[in-house]
Amino acid sequence: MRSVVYRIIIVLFFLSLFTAKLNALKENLSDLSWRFVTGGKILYKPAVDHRGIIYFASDDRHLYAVLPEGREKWSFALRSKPSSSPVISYSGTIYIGCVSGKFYAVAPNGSLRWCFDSGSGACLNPALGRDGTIYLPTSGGTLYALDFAGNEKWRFKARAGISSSASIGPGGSIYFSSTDRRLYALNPSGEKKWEARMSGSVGTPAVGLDGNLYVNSSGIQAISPNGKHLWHYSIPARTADPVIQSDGIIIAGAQNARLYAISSRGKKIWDLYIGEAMQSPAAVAEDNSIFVGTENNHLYVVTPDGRVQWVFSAKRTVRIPTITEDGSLYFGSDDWILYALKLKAGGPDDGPWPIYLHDTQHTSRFNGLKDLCSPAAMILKELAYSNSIDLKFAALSDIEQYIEGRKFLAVHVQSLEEILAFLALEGVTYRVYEQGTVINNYPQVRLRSCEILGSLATEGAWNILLDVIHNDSDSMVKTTAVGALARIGADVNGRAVKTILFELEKSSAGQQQFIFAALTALERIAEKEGFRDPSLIPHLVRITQGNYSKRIREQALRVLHALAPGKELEK
Amino acid sequence: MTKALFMIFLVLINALPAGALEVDIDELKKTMDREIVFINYQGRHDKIETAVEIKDIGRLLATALERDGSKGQIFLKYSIIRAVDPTEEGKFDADIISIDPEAKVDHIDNVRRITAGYLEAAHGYSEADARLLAKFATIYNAVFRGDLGYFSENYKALVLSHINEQNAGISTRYFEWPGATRMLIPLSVEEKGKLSALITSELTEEKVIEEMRKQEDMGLEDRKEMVEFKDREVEEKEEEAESERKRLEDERAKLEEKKEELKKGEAISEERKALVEKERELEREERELEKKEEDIRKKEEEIARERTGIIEDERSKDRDAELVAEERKEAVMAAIFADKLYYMKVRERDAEGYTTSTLSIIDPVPETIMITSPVSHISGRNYYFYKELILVIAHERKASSPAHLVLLHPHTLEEIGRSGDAVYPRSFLSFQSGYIYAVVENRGAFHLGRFDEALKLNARSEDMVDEDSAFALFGEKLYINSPDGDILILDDMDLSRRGLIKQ
Repeated sequence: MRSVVYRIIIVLFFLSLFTAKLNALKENLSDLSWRFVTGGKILYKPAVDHRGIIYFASDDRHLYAVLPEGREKWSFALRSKPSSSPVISYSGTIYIGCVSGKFYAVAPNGSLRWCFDSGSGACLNPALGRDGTIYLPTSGGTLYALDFAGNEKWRFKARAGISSSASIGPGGSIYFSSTDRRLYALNPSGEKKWEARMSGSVGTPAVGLDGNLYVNSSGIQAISPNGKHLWHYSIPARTADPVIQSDGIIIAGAQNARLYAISSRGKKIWDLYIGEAMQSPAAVAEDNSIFVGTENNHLYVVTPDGRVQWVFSAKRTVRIPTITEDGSLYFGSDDWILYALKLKAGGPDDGPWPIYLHDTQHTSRFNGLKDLCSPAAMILKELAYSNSIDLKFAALSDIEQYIEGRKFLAVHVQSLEEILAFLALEGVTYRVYEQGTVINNYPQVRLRSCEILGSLATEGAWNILLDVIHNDSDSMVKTTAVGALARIGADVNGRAVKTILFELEKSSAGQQQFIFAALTALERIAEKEGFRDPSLIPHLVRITQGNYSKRIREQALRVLHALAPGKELEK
Repeated sequence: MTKALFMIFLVLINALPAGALEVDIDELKKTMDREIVFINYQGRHDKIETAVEIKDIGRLLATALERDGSKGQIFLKYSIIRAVDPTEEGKFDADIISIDPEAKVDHIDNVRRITAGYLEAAHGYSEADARLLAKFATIYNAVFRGDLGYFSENYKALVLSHINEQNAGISTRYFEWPGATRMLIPLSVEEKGKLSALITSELTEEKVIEEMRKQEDMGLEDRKEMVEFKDREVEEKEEEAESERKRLEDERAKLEEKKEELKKGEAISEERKALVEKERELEREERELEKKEEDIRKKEEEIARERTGIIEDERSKDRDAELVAEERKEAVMAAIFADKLYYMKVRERDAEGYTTSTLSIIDPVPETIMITSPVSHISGRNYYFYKELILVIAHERKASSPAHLVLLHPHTLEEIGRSGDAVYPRSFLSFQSGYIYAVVENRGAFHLGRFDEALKLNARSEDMVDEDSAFALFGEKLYINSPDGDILILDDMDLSRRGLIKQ
């Protein structure tokens, strides 16, 4: 009896030391920037685009877009629980898979672009080919290859249900695993290259600098690109999917509450007993700090040599973190909250696979976005920046076809925004003078660019259109820009309404077309955003009573009703 | 042995988080009227049963009920009654868990364990679901304790026949439980193992949620779990409805086919009769399915409402946190800034009892002085947060030397600015529109001065003032004592006289 009591004392003593240590560490928290509350568990990793907008799905059956300061931009109803992290395509479209088997492509303004119904179980995390092909694994055992417009290119049926995300290696090979402990490799045209029988259940492969695959299966195993088994580091517990640092070190947590650092030759460098089971992959920051969530509601930050640096507490299980270039860290939790922390550790590590799904846009492809400094982008820029109006229109035509899903260009949306910003503002803010005259004034090009920006529908497109409305003196261009803005829709921070209002006040009664377009845009924004800016009302009332055409006065009245239906308007 | 137990106690105390508090029974009693707070027995127990043993009581209750079909009792301490009446419609059936007079249960957690054990065994819920439902069941029964009006509106007569005003529900006081507790578990008559055997909508009745919102954490995690549970209920029902819909559509197609066939050929009247019968049956089933689908839609709306409530409560916590942060920022006395505690230590007292002090930053963990300001003769005990810096009145070298306004760096506590003009060492200070008002001293004469953020004197009153006077700013006027004890009214900008209130 006495020995039992002493054992209890010893256990409790160490427990007390651990608790005290944890409390001390918790005092040392990095800053929580903000929390975003949803109506369900956030199980999947958030994606972040080039402008810092965060996309993530919640079990409340919505895909959310949240601005970097933590405000909701929009939410998209999925009608079923999500079953994958969002993936951001090169053109800015957001892909998300659901338990129902539906796979949605959502435009950057939150409207549906297309939907693919797999009919083969839940859609898992897809990988994004360099040519825009989406490799979509499903729990029913079929991997689909879809083109960027959502059309099926081919399909591959595995022997059993697929159990992992898809990953793409340096040569474009597609890797994934199945519930019958097999690892598959397909070539980009859908033929099987090889399949390997593994010793345990298999997870999502991470691809190293050497092109080798590192995958969790009874620990961590290394497989060469041609399917040869290289080594096996055994871990006596279920292991999370690994990530790979720039120095080739493989990091993975496990259900036995240990975090492992393993060399690329399969030797343990260190392991750290955290005391809490880890199911989720870790993330490695620029300074090689490691971030990992646990089932006991904590996010641990571990130094590169394997010591706990600090701990952040959520209310329930912490899921997979993502690290952005500006040093922000985002992660969801089963407590329905997305957390945003500001790190002192910098952006993501420069390693071959520093975070789960490779990068913040979730391409799951070796080299990911680095591959996109493509000739296509260079050609497009050459055309756009030339002095020939025909070449400018050729560039615009290519971009339009790309956005409409008719022709793929390996060009990232950031480049598209750059090109369209130039074309939409050339001759206005980018002026070339010759003998005192502006020689690069192409109103037709600007007009067309504005139309395309409306289809692009990104945050960047939105900002460019506001610049056009503010700076362009050509009434037709302004009218088109306002119309394009209305097509995009949302106005989270009220900037569009302010800009349009300002331009309305400046406009003369002769600019009837612009005034009508501006009012229509206000109506569209009001429909989406509701009543926001009461300063609009007196101005609209003036238009309803002013010297304008009947069409304009009626439109102003419609906007008033859209802004303040019922009693609010009476006030 | 005693020593060992004492050590366990010490270690346990050590293991507690720093913020842990003991339950204050008196305080709990005060809040009884407005909040469901269960009062549990806090003293020693002669015999301690394990959580598993307590949960087994619930399981045994389920076994006893299964044997009898309508009731059961164990150890003469706990009973179960199944009050199900298929003849009455529109109200709830119930399982009634009774804590009988001989029962010794004295902690709400144990009541919940018993209830959870029962729900697991009798209704096939998982351990986690049963634990969640048991928690809601106890709060629900405490909220409607003795409320026969409510119960009679919602439960069937058979259920009501087993309860009265004294025993319906559960008291919040443990000593009132034995012999006076009949907890109702609202039931829908469905198959065992179905998530919806127990009516969760009733357990999360508006008043129950309101009670939970009064808890410190607004019961958010439990409420979230309940929404997730209901979500699964709906998913299960949707799947059922979907397969039912498919079956009925197939049946309907077959029926239409048959009807077409009958139209073509000469049908025997019996065949027609059977077809009509079949169609009627199909229509009845279709109506039932529509009713089920309508119930699903209602449940989805209920879940959506609860989600919204939870989101709003979570967001209100953020707003509260922002307010607290704002208040903290505005605090002018001892405060923790960037995890540091500013502390003013008395340095010396002069013959008249006036003090000078030094300002330090203390690290609360592990309680060490991190830094002490080189400005060593701060007058009095006050310091002020001013434009993210710290403002003090400090003497030049020693307590008897002239005093000035001095700005200190908030982290290093080094001097970063000093007023050229001397101020009265014990001057009252006031702040408005970024200006600092202080009594200035010039060869024994005292005037009111206004300093800008660079501590430059940019206005001085013509009138002399009482150096110990407090002053009040109101609109564009400033009120301060004259040396004669009258109240001077000065312009807040140029400090010229605007009036005088004679004593």
